[in-house]
Amino acid sequence: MKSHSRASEQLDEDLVLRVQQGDKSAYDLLVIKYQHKIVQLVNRYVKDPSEAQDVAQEAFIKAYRALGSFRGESAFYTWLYRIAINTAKNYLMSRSRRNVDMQVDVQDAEVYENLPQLQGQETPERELLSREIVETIKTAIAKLPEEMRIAIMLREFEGMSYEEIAQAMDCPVGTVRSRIFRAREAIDNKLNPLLD
Amino acid sequence: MHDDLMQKLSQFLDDELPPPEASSLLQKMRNHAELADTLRRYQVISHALKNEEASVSARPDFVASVSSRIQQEPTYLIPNAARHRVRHRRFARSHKIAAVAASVAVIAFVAHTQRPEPTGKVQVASAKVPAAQAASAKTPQDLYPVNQQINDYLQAHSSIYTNGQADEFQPYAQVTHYSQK
Repeated sequence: MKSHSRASEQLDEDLVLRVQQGDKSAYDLLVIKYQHKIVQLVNRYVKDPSEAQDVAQEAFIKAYRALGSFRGESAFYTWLYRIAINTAKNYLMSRSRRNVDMQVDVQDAEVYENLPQLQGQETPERELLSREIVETIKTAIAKLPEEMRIAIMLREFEGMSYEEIAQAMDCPVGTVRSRIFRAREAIDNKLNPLLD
Repeated sequence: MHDDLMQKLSQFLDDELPPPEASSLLQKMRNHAELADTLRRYQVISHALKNEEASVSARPDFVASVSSRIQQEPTYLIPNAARHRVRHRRFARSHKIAAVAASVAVIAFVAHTQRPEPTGKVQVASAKVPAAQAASAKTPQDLYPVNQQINDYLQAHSSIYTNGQADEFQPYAQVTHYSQK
């Protein structure tokens, strides 16, 4: 099963090339393409959605600065992910140092106990919303017509390509494309009010 | 918004959209907040299905914030970027070929050096060759010297001379060879 298609890599290569040749607007397209994935990735490390936004932004800026020496030896997205992970780790280290400095300054055992550490900073409200979102999606999937449900599950759970799903379901690729889209649309209709 | 565009968004999320269409869709997303927001929700769905948890997504102004910071950064001007990349790939490919050739050479060398030595019998037989005959034995190089080989080669390939076309330019090797004659 593929993780990142050749077509996607080709698009990245073209956009990187445009940036390297002076077209800054092409970098916006790379940011649009990867923003959510990078924020998600960074959030796994910093465990604070608000700070994850800033750290992810920093990662994109660092990637831009390093783009001049990017030679395409690895795919752009793996390179960008590496930068994002390093940025997140550096951020955690500096946050940890900051906390230690504060501890030394205050010299107070009680304050020391209550200082924010590196654990997750999920609020109960956020966790509740997260659970509600997952439940809504599960319910919406269960109510989908069987062919749509199978198509989207093969895609999301098994990571199969449209071509592979078409073979598995014995139908044209165009039908797979449409079924997956219709499934997402149906789930989105249920989810939209929660996310607004 | 048209279903067609939304379907493309779904394909894009799955990396199933050809690069030119994907590029055009990304351009559209820059100007259509609704399109970008739909992608965000599709990604939330995808993440929740895989991880059993709601994902965190970028803020709506994320791209604009990065973009404004990028505007303050220097612009790259690497006109040979594409050529450099192709050259790098060719270089990597030529390295692979060289590595394979070197491996074959090493294997051949090792196989050659590990061949059994000639037996004592053969050595004894050659030892019985009379000294006079041994002295007069000639190697192929003695019988057909290298210089002679080169001369023959040059003459055989001297089509210009045999065709009588040697008007102006002559390669150095030919000139020296014929002047030595």
